[in-house]
Amino acid sequence: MSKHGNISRLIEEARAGRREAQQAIYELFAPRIFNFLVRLSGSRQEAEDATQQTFLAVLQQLRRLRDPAQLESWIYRIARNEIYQKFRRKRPESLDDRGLDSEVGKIEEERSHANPEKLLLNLELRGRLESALDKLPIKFREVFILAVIQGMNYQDISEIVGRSLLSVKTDIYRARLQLRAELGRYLGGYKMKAESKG
Amino acid sequence: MADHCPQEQIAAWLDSQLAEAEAAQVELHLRQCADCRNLRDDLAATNRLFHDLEVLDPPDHLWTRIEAKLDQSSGHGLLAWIPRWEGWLLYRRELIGIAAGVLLLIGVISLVLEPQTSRRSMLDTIARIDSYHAAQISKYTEFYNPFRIAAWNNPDSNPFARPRLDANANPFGSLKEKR
Repeated sequence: MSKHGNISRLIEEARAGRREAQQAIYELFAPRIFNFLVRLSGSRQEAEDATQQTFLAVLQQLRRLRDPAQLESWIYRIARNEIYQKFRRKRPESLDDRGLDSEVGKIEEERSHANPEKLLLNLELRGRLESALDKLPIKFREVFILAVIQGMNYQDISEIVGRSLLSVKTDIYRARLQLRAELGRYLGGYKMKAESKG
Repeated sequence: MADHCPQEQIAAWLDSQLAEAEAAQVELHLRQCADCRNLRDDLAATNRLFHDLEVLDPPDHLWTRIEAKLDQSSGHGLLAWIPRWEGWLLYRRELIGIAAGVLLLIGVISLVLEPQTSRRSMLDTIARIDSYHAAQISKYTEFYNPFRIAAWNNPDSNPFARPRLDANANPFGSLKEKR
């Protein structure tokens, strides 16, 4: 059976209240949604809450989904709305502690199985990447995460964020320019020879 | 610089989001332009930096929490009705028909009943005014109708009666005397 056929069947079963089908939908999409929300909000805790709210809404409102092929975009839209609601409730100054709550835990976790120099470099780089990502305006950040980190196509991104294809394309490019300026000194080691592609 | 391709195109090309013809155009330009090659390398390096970010797994307890909430909402209680109502949306057309019928019925009933009720209330009001007047007249017979009572008791108090009592006040009377 095709991927869409499988998803349609899962949706039907989940609508009928079958818990296994609901769990299968969660397991299929939760990792990508969770990563999207962590990168967008910068906080693991907020991403957890938003992921929970997202899947609750998805599984309770599954009847509203008309086209099963749109399931992924629909889940992303709900997830994005969840995190935007959190942003609205949050005071601006608290947005500055992006990632700090998760960082301490991660350091402890990695200390046991990594070589200290590499660990330090990785941590520094990751901190810089997260901070550069955080400095992007939210409309650039979300399309950059979807396009570059999640590898989604521009048409799907345009449907998720509700902006035109041209606007999405321009925003992704501007996000890249801003990140290039922020991360200039780290780019040297990562420059690839793209001739093979050209 | 005039024949540079738009730089957004280079970013879109890196993400494999261009149609074949557009991609060929960008590739041709990249072969000829060192500045754009440099931009491409920078943008590609930025991509690689972010591709190296670790992929995070959602915590194991998250599904358990969601499942508990789902159980809670499909159980008994006031809130448990909310999801069930969504099923009614499937019969939207029928529901709209029923609602329109009910509204029409309410309209017809109010049209039939309304004149009767307004006539009844008008008669009630007139009866109330009448009984008020009757009470006032019986209570203040002397003063209630000042014109009628005053004219009855004292003819001089009627300004129209006065000229008739005084012959000089009648202009036609004096004309008669001169003649």
